[in-house]
Amino acid sequence: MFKHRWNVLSVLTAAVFVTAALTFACADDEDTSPTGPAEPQEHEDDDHGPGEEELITTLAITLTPSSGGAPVTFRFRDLDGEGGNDPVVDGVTVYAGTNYDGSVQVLNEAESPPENITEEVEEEAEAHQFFYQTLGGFSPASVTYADKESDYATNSGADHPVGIAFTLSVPDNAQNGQLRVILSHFDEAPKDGVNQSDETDIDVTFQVEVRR
Amino acid sequence: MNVTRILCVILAIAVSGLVLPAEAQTATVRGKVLSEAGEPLPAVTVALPALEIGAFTDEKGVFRLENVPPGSHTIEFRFVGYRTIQSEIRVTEGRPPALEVTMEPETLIGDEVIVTGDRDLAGELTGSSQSVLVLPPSALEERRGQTLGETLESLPGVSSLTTGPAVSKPVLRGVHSARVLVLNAGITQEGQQWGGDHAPEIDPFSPARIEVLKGAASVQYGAGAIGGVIRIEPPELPANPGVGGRINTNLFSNNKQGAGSVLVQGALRKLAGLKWRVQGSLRRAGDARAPIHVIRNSGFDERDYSVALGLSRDWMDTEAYFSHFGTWIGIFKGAHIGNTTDLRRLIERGDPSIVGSFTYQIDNPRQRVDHDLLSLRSRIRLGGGGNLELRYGQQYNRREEWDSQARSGGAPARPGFSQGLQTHSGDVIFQHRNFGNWYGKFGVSGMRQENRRFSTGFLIPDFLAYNFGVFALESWTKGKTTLETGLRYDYRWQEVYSNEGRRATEIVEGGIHTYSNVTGVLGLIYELSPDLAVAANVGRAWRPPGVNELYSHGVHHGTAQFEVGDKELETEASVNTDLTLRYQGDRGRGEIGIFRSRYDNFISLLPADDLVLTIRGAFPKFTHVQSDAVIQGFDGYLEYDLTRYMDSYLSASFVRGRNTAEDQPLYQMPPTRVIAGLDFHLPTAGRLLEAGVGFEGRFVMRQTNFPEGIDYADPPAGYSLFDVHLNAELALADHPVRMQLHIHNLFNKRYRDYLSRFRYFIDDPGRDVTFSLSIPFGKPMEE
Repeated sequence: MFKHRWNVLSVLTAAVFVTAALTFACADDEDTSPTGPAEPQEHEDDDHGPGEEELITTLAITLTPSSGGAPVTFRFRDLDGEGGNDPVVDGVTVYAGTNYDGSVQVLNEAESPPENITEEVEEEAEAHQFFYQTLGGFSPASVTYADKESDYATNSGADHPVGIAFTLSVPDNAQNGQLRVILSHFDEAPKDGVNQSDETDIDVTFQVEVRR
Repeated sequence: MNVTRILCVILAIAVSGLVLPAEAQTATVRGKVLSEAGEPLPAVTVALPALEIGAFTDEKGVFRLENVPPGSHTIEFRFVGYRTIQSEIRVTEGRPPALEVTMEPETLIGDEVIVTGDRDLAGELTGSSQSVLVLPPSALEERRGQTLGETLESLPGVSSLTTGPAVSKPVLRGVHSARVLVLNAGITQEGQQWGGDHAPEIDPFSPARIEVLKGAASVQYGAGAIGGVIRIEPPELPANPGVGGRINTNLFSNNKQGAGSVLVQGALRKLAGLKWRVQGSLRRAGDARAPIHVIRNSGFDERDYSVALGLSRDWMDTEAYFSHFGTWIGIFKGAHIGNTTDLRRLIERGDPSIVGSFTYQIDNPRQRVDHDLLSLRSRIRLGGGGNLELRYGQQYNRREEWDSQARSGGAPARPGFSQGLQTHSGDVIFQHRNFGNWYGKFGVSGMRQENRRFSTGFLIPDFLAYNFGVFALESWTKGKTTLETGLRYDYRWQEVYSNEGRRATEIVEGGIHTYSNVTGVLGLIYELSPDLAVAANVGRAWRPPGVNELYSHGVHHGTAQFEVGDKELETEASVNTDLTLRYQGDRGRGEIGIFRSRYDNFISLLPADDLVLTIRGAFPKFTHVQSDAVIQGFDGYLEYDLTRYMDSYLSASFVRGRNTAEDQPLYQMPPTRVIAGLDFHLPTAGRLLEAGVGFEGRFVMRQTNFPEGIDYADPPAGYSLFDVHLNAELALADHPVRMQLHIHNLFNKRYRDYLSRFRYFIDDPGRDVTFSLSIPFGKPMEE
């Protein structure tokens, strides 16, 4: 709409003397301002603004003891996005000498209902991988992948792990420490199943308490 | 090849040039002098003062100057009641093309840039008490590069801040963006110029003349001109009837850029004084190449056009100018990183993570920028003497930036952010006739600006602002001394709208801020001898804090910094002192300037010793803070005609910036640089009007003055680059056709410039062979 008006101006430069003088004279009046009324048409289909499409607010890890037992979920939540209020990070509690079946869930809880981003990661399995690092006293613990790209989407080439499903082994000698979870996005750089990319979507660290 | 060897070669060529026999081949300079109405002007004095050659025009306005040696000369046209014209001409052997000169009545004074009365700034000894560099059309054609920044960056005291090969911002004496004002067709360019990766929205083919004023010029141009002014002027509309124009093409090998521009202009015979011009340009470039990598996704696709209409009457001149600038710019993908770990990993590896093969395709991340400018300028000659100048400008800038791919893969459907900036501006300036030795002007300026953020991510908030300024500038000339002084008052009212209903992080507490300040300037020019002058200038300048500095809040993905604004920031003010020595001799010209700017409340982005924890990892927090600072240094150039066949030039830039409160260097100050070159004029004959070959070396030192703890990587090593160029001018169908072949970075040297924002990720571009052609047609253009 606006653009069109400029094109007309450009052709009829002569007429512009008058138009411009009028526009200038009316500049104080919001309604005649060429930026137009306050609501550009792009607003129409969402309440939150498309900048938030890309928001990830929550990473949730669910651990279920392999030998049976109740699953426990730990979250990293930053509902207002980067900055603002600090994120809330749950402490992780595990038992020494236990193996866990783990799964990870990624959400945008700024949307209502929350958007399940794990599904998008699954669809783009070939372009994503979770990496798990056990740090400090927790480093004797180990994480092994329990999935392949082909579990989620058709796969061409090497069938690398994705890391949405994994197993966590906590040996007897594990101490309190940290668990770091990284989601790498492989866009143009090739995914080789081992190395992280330079485009990190998620990088969070949980404090881990090991109970006996 | 090493540097010493190359220098030896250049030296050897230089010495051989010195011993070339200086034969006394001469030329005849002829031409015609016309009045504004197109009537011949008889009895005009035409002279080459340096050579003591002169003549009068006959009743047909025609003159001939015999026995003129080839080379560059200043030609002068004088006639009682008319404004004296001084111009540089290049005389070639034989019969150079005839000159056509239009003289204007003396009351017509008042090119608005003139600070010191009716003197022309162009290369004149006593033009300004500050350092002003002028690029006339021929120099612009020679230098036109990938971007406007590249066109200007070889000037002394000018460097460029680049975000890949397609985005570059001019840096004047160490400052840029919100501290440098760009004036396009008399109107202050208003885009989102605070952004370091937001290049000026200017078609590189549109200017006929660029003037770079180094140092503060707040009295003349208001806040924003705290670091300098880049003044871009489209060609002057033709005064005499007829239609003519010019076709320009530029080809660049590095990114396979093809660029072309067509300009047609004319003046009506039936309706005297009505004149017009249309111009359009296309520029398309693919991925640039560093010596060993393709800089993936660094192309651009730009389409620009402009139209102008002018009307001249005895009592006034009016010009309307409209230009549209529109471009898609690709941003190197490897620079879009997720978090600090990614950045550290990239720096350690030293190689880009993303390479690929050449393509013209522009993918995300990318920018779409549109800028429309309307400029209306009138100069009314008042009966009692003096001129009234009226200026009105309207601009709309729309900037959209797309992030890298959407998290879920595939291109995001909508830009990461999108904003529209609408600006109206107006000036009324009265230039009074001289009262004794006094000469000057006073005026008022106003501006209304509105920023609207479309429904996208947050960068800066919506705002509405009004500026108002009133100023007076006077100069006093007697004998060899010129004094100039000026005073200005500015007021800014700014309302920022809150973002209710947005994400919590984006909520900006709305509010009204007002800023005001008084600035002043005092200048002195003294002519030491006919070819040497000294100029001194002391001035005060200021700028209000930018909306980004007040309100930014978020991660900058090229630098992995969490940037935070401070809405309590106060105005930044400076006291600027500079001293310039100018030389304009028979065989050489040059200038050296020493400057010192002392800032109160200099705004800079500094680490806050704090981390912001996000789901992407922890980012170091950077806040906009104010402290006292000093920026000082010197720059200058010397051009000298060693023999009739050989010219040499040397330019140097040195700048140091210091945060005096923290006692540490300022970030991102340009490193010291020296440029040296030799140009040879080859013998010409027949249709070959001019031919030359030139060599240039550019030596950039490593920046050793940098603040600790701000940057992830130390400044890159210094580097030397070599250029060679061949140029020729041929007479084809009575028109001088100019062509040039230029090889930049001849040895395909790998380097990273300190002011390249991609220096963490990838080398700067390698060898670039460029070819440019300029074909005039129809009635010759006045240059």
